[in-house]
Amino acid sequence: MLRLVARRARAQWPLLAALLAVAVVGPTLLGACALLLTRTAEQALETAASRATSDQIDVTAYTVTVRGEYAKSVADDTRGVLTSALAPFATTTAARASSVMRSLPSAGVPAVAYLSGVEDLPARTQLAAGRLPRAGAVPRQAVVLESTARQLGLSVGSRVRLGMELTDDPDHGIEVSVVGVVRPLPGTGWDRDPLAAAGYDPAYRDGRSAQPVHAYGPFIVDLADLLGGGSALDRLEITARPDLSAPAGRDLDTVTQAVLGADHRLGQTLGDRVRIQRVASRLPSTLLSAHDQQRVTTAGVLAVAAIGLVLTATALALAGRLSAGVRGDETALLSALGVGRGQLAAAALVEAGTLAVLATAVAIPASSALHAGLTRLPPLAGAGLAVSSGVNAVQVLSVAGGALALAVVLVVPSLRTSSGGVRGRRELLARSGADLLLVALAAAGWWQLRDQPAGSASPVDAVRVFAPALLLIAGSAVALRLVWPALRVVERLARRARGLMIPLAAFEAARRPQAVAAGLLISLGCAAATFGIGFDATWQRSQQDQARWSGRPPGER
Amino acid sequence: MNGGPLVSVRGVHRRYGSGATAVHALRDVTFELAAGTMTALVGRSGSGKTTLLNIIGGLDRPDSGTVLVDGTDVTALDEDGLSLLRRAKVSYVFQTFGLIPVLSAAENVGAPLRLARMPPVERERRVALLLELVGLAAHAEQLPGELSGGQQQRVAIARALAASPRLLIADEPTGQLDAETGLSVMALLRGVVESEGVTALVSTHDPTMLALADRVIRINDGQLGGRSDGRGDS
Repeated sequence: MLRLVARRARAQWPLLAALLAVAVVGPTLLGACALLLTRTAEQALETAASRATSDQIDVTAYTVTVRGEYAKSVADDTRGVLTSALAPFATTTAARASSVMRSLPSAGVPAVAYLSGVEDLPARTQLAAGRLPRAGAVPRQAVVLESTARQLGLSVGSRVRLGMELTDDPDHGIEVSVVGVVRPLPGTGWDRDPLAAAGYDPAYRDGRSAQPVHAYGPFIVDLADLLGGGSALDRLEITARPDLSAPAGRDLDTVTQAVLGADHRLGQTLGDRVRIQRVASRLPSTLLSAHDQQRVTTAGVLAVAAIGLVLTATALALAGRLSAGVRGDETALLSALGVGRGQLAAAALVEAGTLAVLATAVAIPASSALHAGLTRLPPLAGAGLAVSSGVNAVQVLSVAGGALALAVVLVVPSLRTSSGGVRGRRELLARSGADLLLVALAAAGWWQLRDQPAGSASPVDAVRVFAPALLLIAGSAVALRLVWPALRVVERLARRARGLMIPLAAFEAARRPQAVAAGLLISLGCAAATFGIGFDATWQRSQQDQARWSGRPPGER
Repeated sequence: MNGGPLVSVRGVHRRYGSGATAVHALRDVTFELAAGTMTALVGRSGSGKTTLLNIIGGLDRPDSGTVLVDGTDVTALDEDGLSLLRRAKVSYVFQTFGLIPVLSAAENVGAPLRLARMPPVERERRVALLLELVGLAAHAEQLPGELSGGQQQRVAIARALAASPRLLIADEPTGQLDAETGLSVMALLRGVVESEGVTALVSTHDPTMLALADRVIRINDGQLGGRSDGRGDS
């Protein structure tokens, strides 16, 4: 029997080559989709993280009202909480602190002033005169904004006495020496200064008296001096920025969870040393949003793979039926010679198995090449996802599984026997039942697609994967059921027509059962193409919306 | 015999392959067929019968020689000319019937009339007449798969006669039929030659069929090996 299979393969190689070509398409598509869902998906998440702007990944801890003796420890502990939350990524931190208001006796009117400490001062200010303050000097060195200097008549070398803190537990006053005058640079966090970097407010309300007072500041001293100098802090803000230039997908997931829990950890760590603490960051939402996008894309890719597999299976079933027809006489002869159904099935399995192995061997490099080609198309290449062709285990398993499943589809028609009247009716009933089931499932899928929110909790959304494929198959099946009576009408018209070729085509379509499978194939192909175009348009629109959304200021979102 | 030659074959050579493996299917074949006669072409398998029929019908071309059918040099015609010839003057009956599986018996018979763009009413009348002629009026709506071999060959003969050809070529029309059915098919051919005035060239290697032919042409290894009058002369 094996010799017969081998000789038949040699004799019918064009037929087998055609079957192989059809069988390669599905696994190739599956392999490419597997690579998109593994290699490219992980790379997409990493690229999204590495391309995120600083405001999308910064993690900032805000603490309010810190007693002087705790200021340094609170700052250190806050840095520790943020750094550990962002581990294993290397993290840089930047702190900014403002003291509570102190009285300003030298102003001549009821007035207050405050100290500030800002890390990386040269990057946040432009020096107008003098120099920046140094740590540990006595009296403390400070720089002031131009507006403050103007209002208070200060210049480099001036000394200012700041009075007691306006708190329930005030310390003594302190003296500062002005060593420089600076201009605040826009976009460097001065909006969170108590006077928003105005340097002066003639109607400041500190909440302690009914009348407004004059407020001046900040007197910017070295941050270490501020934290270690015993001044009570009105606010302390520490921003941590992870280095996401080469992130790994698993680390990003770890960080997302850690940052989400950082607020709680900070509260536990600081205890009652501060009155209020809070950790704020867009990093988790940035990464979760990338994950959501990835999930939707995954569902779309899987849907395309499912549709591709259904298309290939339909094509292969049709090809299998045609090849079974070509070999009908040979099968009848073998049966007449006493070859049993089991032996025929074994021969068919051997042939299909060989085709599956060959299809796998061809589809693995083909899917790698297809994947590499797809990533070089403008949308993916523009997103930094272009890769050279490669192979991974998921891809190989998908290709082999797909090829094996298709081999089974190929074997079934060769094992079928001709059906008689009663069996034909049974088949008709079974098909009608299957159609109804398909339509019911498709309707359920449609309902789910309409009602389910975009971000599902499951890693791979089954509804999004199978509903489009089900909808396409059910739609095609129902459409074909409608085509059948239409073809009958066309056939009746063809009988009365004059010519031969077009009426003959009508007769062929109406009377050959293969026409239904071919019709299913064509309608599925058209439906899949329409789905693909629609999916692409939706994806493009989504990208544009996201770009527009992320380009707006936070208040307008 | 009903008149002058409808078919004139002169010095026809046909060779397949080249060099030492070349096969000379026909060698200097020359003969004529009178109009309105039925001629049996007799020879063993591989003797060149089918090659000769194909060349006369324009399905194949000779390496040399000429073939005239109703005054038309078949060997000089291009593909369109050959199509027109087969549509209007020459019809075939094949050993394997050659019916279109999805068409009913009536539709198969009507196919050449559709090619001729005959009006449907006239076409249906002609189809009914031909099916009546071959004794299959009751089977008009049946598909080929639902007919016996003899019935299928009768449908093929009716189809071959549909466009009123001048020449009917039948290649082993009884080859797949049992003796009794084969004889009835040959008798049918004999009958339509007389009733329709058509010229028939029928290849066969069944000696019992020769009695129905007006003439018998014998072919052996691509050469005409003698001829004789039919109707009991074989």
